[in-house]
Amino acid sequence: MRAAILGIAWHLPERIETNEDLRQENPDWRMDDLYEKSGIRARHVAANDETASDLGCRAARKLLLREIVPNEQIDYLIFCTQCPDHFLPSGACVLQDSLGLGRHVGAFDVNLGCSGFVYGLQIAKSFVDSGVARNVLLVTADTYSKYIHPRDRTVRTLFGDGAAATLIGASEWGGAIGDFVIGTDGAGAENLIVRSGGLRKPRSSDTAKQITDDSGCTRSEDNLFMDGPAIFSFAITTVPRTVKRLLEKSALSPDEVDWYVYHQANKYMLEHLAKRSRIPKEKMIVDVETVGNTVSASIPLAIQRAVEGGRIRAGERLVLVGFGVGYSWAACTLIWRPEPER
Amino acid sequence: MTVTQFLDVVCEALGREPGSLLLDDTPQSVEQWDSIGHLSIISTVDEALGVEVDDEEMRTFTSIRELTDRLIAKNAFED
Repeated sequence: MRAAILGIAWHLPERIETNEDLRQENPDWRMDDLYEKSGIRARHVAANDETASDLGCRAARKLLLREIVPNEQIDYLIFCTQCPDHFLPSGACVLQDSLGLGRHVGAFDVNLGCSGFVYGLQIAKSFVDSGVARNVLLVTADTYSKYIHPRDRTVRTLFGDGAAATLIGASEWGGAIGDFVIGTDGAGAENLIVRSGGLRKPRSSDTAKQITDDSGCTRSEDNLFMDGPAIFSFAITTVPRTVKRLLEKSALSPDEVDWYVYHQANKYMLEHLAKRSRIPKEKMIVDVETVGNTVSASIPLAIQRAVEGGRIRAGERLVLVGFGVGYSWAACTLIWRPEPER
Repeated sequence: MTVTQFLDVVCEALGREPGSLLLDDTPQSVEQWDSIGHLSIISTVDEALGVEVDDEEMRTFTSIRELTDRLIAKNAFED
């Protein structure tokens, strides 16, 4: 039996911010043009007292309620986020307790963004295939909204908050996680960053100074900064090569893939990446309209919502690609065949 | 592809009439050349010319002339 995704559940914060809301708050933002390119009409935003671990906990509870495997057979909990509650302890330790999982569970955090889900799958698959764990609960959740300056159009219009929980274990039904191709280029670290708040540069009155750039976007060093053209250039260069390598490694032709589920950066990026790799538009999952870019949660969210919408069906082959902050990227193949609920 | 043909493709990407871009045009002189417009130009370089766009000089141009000069230096155009 091979390691496979046994099930996915997701959770989004209640509060929704629409393009109309943003237009009313910022009359100078050209929201129609932005919608046309980004494909994003609304995004969910966490409440002030709601964190990524809260969202992840809600998603995980939904998944555990399905009783795909008995809770005592979950041996590892991996929490992937870049929006932790604390410097320490690990959010995964707190989640183990909130979820009522046994004390035998191993738990740790992974600090990755848009590539984090696929990295998490690789770790989980290794644990299951090697017998380290029977089942792994992978929770991916982010609330970038908490880093975003309200007057920074480049990021506020794109990112949404969200969470997903994914159960990985040995499949009895023929699902499988296949090969991986991963990569890192830390030279791109400066292009998507929150500069202050860690130990390298603690938050101070200096870091809180706001600057408005040439394009009219305001932020301080306490906020998320994204060099859009740099990230776009990185993605359109790296992702097609990564997918090509993955297909070669897996001895697959592009036709043998039913669905391409990439990190849901925005519609424009996904359409360009599809064109660049000659992927038919109808095989590329694009699910950003009502949720935006949900960082580490975006791939499992897109898979599960496509399953719920009747698009992805059991037995189909998927190629997943996460890419972004770091720079960090990871791609894998899988056969989608979740386990039935008990 | 010639420089003129390339400029027409850029016009299309920005939603402008063919022939409406000049070498001296900048983000300030072209209404559609905002942050998204800039991405459209980068994708045109990638797609229409097949030029690698992952280095800084291929994405930090501030005028059409600066871009085409860099592309000429990379032998991206036909004569």
